[in-house]
Amino acid sequence: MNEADRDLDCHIASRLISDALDDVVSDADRERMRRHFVICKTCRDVSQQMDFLRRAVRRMGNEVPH
Amino acid sequence: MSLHAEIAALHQPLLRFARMQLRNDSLAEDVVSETLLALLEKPEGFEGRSAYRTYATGILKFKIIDVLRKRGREVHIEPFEGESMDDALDALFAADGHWQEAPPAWAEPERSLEQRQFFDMLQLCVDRLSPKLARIFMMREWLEREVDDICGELDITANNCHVMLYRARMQLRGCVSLNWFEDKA
Repeated sequence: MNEADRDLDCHIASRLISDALDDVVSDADRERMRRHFVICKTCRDVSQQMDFLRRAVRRMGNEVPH
Repeated sequence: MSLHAEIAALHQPLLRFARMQLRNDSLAEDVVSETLLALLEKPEGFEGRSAYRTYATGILKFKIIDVLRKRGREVHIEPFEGESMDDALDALFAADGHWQEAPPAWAEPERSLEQRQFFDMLQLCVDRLSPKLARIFMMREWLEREVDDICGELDITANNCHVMLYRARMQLRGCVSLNWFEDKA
């Protein structure tokens, strides 16, 4: 079996979720992530949480002070 | 609040961000002073305190990036954080690659962005990262710089950069989950 055909586990998926935020994921790995997300709600949630944290951190310092 | 009082109130929060990035008190004071001066020179045209802070933070980010660029490779960062961090990350997953304990979904995260307390908690979670991880993470996510620029400036390999960002994100995710979303559940 080709490495790129093998299904992801959550550990590797979590690293790819991070790498995707930095645009360094290959097309083959993007496809593997897509397939993994179909069957794994937890990793899908974590991916959305990472996206949300990025938006939140960018706003740090903008909020109204105490 | 008068303009001067508003600007004075920004000093400490801005200094905190500047220190985290520059790791040098006098440089941090300098960029914050320059930012506050820039605000005094252009006081008009801001409706509401929130827009004002966004504007102030924007100026500060710009000035920090400028200092970091000029300083170039003077500052070095140790690439790896030691065994304990690897262990902490590995402990999230079982040997077969599954989550040891599946992280819970977050309820209505967007609403949190409207709450000051959320940002206080977020700051505490960033502060809990090791200084190296916090700095590289904030360079990427707060200053919105490209990974190539960050690695070049800190003189570390791209792979180290990505590993450190991964660790920072995972730790931050866990901290925010535990101290905000699970706390409210």
